[in-house]
Amino acid sequence: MRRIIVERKLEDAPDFEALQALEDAVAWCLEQHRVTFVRSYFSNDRRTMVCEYDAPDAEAVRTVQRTGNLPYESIWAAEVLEWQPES
Amino acid sequence: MTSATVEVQVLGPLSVFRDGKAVRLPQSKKTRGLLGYLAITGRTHRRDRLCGLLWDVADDPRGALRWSLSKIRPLVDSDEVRCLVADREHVELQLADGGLDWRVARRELDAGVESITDARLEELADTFRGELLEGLDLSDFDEFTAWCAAEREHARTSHRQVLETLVSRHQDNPATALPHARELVRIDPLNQEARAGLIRMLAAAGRRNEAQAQYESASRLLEELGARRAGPLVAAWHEIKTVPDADATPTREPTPPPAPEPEVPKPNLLVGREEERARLFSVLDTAREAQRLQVFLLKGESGVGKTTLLTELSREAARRGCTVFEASSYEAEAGRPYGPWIDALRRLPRDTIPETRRNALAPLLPELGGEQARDQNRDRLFSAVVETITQLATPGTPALLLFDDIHWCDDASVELLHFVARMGRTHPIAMVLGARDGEIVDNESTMRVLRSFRREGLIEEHLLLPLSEGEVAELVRGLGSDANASEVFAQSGGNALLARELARAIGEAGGPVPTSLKELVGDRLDRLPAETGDVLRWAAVLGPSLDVTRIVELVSLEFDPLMNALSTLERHGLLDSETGDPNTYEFNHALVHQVVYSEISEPRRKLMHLRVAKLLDGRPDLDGALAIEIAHHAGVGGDAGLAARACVIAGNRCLQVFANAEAFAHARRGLRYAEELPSPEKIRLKIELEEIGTTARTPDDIEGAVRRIEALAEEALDAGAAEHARLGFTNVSYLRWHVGETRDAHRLSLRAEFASRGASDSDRMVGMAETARCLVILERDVAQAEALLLEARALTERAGEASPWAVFDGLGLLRFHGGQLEEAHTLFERAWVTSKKSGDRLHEFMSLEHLVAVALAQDDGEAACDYARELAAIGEKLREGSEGPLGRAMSALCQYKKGDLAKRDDVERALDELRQVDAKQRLANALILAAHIELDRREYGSAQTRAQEAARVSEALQHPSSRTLADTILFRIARETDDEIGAKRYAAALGSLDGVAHHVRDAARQVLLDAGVGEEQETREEP
Repeated sequence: MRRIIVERKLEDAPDFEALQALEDAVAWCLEQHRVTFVRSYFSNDRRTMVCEYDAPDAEAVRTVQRTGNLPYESIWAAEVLEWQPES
Repeated sequence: MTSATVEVQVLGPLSVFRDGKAVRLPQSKKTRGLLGYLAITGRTHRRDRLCGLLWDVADDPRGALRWSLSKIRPLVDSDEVRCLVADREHVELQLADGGLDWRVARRELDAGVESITDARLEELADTFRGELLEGLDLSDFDEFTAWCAAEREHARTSHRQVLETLVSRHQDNPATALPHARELVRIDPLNQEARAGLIRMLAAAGRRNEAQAQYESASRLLEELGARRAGPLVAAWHEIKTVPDADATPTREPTPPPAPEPEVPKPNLLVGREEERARLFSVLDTAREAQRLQVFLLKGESGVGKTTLLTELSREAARRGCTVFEASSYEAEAGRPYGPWIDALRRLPRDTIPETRRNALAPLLPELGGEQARDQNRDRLFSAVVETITQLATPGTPALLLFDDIHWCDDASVELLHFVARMGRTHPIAMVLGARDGEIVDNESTMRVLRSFRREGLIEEHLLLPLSEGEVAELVRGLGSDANASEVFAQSGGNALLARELARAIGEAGGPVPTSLKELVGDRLDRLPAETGDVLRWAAVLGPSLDVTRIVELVSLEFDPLMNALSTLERHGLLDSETGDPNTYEFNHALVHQVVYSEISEPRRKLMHLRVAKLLDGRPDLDGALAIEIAHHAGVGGDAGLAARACVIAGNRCLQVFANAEAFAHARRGLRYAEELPSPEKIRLKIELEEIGTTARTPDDIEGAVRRIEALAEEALDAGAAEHARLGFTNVSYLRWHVGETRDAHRLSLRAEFASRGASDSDRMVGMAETARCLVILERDVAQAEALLLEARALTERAGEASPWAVFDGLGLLRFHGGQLEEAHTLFERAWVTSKKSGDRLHEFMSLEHLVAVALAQDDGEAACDYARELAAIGEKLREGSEGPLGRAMSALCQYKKGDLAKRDDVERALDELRQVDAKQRLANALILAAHIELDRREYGSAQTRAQEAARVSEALQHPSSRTLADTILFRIARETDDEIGAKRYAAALGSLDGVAHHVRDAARQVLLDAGVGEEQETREEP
């Protein structure tokens, strides 16, 4: 599984419930494509959003976003670098 | 053989006469049914049509037909005259003019009844000896049943016409008219005008008491059947009430005085049979001594005394302390799966079955309170039955399994019997079966099991012969009858039942008596008090075995008179109460039941069955057992809606207990009833019944079934029955993709839940189609995808809209997966056009992507290049994602394939881009194509690297088809480079092609075959 990042720009700042509903609507499709939602980040004005998923490939996440008509700017597979500070 | 005139009579029980002498008919009911059918239709039939009529579920229908024809031939053919004309394809029974009673009567009546003389009319009236083909009901065979019902109705109408004409012509001569008026009432007891005519005629003849009895009998009948007394009957009664009685008898007698009731001694007296009795008892001994299963079959004609002997064995076993599993099969209960087993198990004391086994037996005995396990299967159920038996079969006291009348045994029971015989072989079990030897050939599954017992040398058989003259004399003495024993022997031919009835009748009448069982029982019925006769008729409608509580609700008698009537019937040896269960009565013999039942006129019988069906409808029916009864009664009673609904419940119940043959029979019968209903009920029921039928038995003609059910689903949509439409489409998809597999309820619910999401209809349709595409692209559940796509297409067409792009593209993908490349191509073209119209670039791109794939699969390089060019152009217009790189990759690959080696750099660049955007499926497709091209050019190293990457990527995606394509290339490379170890490894990987698209599977098989691997495998498989 790979970590996939989805970047979104949103016209109107949505509330969390609306986002949850959008996410729910594609739950079945996510499952079929073996895509798992990890977490989301919001900018303070809530107009920029970055979502993390675990998926077999970025294309699976693209397909799901398109099926659910979810807005996105770009989707890419990410290398995760966990910085360990020296103790 | 010499020339003989052959005459067939069908107006009444089927009979054949040669030179005026009755010949003995085959006992096989189907054979007699076939003879009746050939005689009445009198035309040429194709053999396959006749097979479909009576042997549609047989293992070898043509063989069964041949066997039946071989039994008919000696009855009708002589050296000079061949009546039965049969070749390889056709069969016809050519009877001489006047050789069939029904044809003669029909011809004369068709010419006009008014031109027939009185004397000839009297003769014609006599030719109607009973119902057409009386007793020859073959209710499992719909087409035959429908034909027979129509023919009977025609015959009844003709009979009525003859009688009405005679009554009207002899209006002024009551003595001549009365017998015909009575007969008219007998064949049509609900016809109030006929009854009114009879009442007037009796009054005119001065027989007012009899007229009053007729009026009361009609009133009681109408009340019991829930019908109203109408004008003519009431008017006739008022008329005669006001006329002074010619006899001037003032007393009121409600019914004629009952005939004297002689005390009848114990009816089933066993005489002779010492040898048979010893043999039967020795089965118990051998089972105990050998500690092994013993099987014994007691055969004989009906009424010869099998049941009496088996009852004797049962008593003996009980005396020895053995557990007895005892039951009979009934003709009317062929649709009740495991009927005899359920009865046998129910007769065991409750505590015999331990708690631990109750769940496993719950499908058969829900009253034990066990819960049917989720993972219940047939083996678990069967094993629980075997354990129950073997646990009770102890070394000193073997268990006795006693199944009588197995010629009527249902398929599920026979299978269980066979299972018990296989699994219980090393236990002390005596399995004793009783059967009519002539009728057993009609029961395919019983014959199959008996053949298997014979092959294994497991079964001992004995044919029970008629009683000797001495034994008949002993029987007559035992019954305390004054009858002349020689006379009884001569007339009965040693048949124990007939001898018993004759001895009794001669003893009672003291004069001449009828000679056939039908007439004897009919005679006895006539002499019973009217109310008692009615109780017996209700008993006959309820079945050979019946629950008294039901009779209580059906007859218009108070409790005490009803109990008296039942006691009278018991004393007359017509009904027996079952030992240990005071609520259950049983006909003394199946033949007696049959005679009483056939004595009830068809219209009355119909209404009686209907009343039973309505009485049972709506009662709690936890295990669906009641539905099987309702289906039977409503079917005969003519309530098609109730019957079809009950067939659905009954069919599902049968599927639950793994009784597929019975489930299929219910579905088929239900479909016939449903045909008579108005839409949408008809459509809904037909879809449900088709589902039961196709689950119970995979159709021989799958495409035909698919077309039929798809049309039904579309009709359901028209009728607004969306849920049923979905059920229909789902059924179609399973037939196409998962024939023989268990249907997975989870998947169905998942799909239904997802598909029903969305605000508007059109959103829902798009949602369904998208879901389906998703499934087929991922190769997860192609069957479900098909169901969704078919439903979405039908819904949009009905709404007058164009189907969404996803429907065409999705169906195209399905056909591609199924290897129907031409069809896939057409659908993708339509998808492309649709997407261009709507201006959806992404959809346009995907349509083209699939068109390229089809063209490559069809090995059409030019077309692939053309589509790839378009694909690349659209890909450039799309934003971030894998489309641009894929367009460039495919375009370059198509040029590369055509020999433009300079494109190789473009290919590498585009592949790298696909890796960057992380589109694994598209990358795998491109890699496989590149590897193919290079393999054809024998650039093994490069081809191998690409194929290995494609295999890795496909594995990560869990996409079986891509993985198989990659392995196919790697196998070829290994073969061509003499890498034997590699070749073996990839050949093994290609051994399992589950879930792989058809065109990929075919390609893989071809590669293996070309390499000689497939052939080796096939050779190995030969015995």
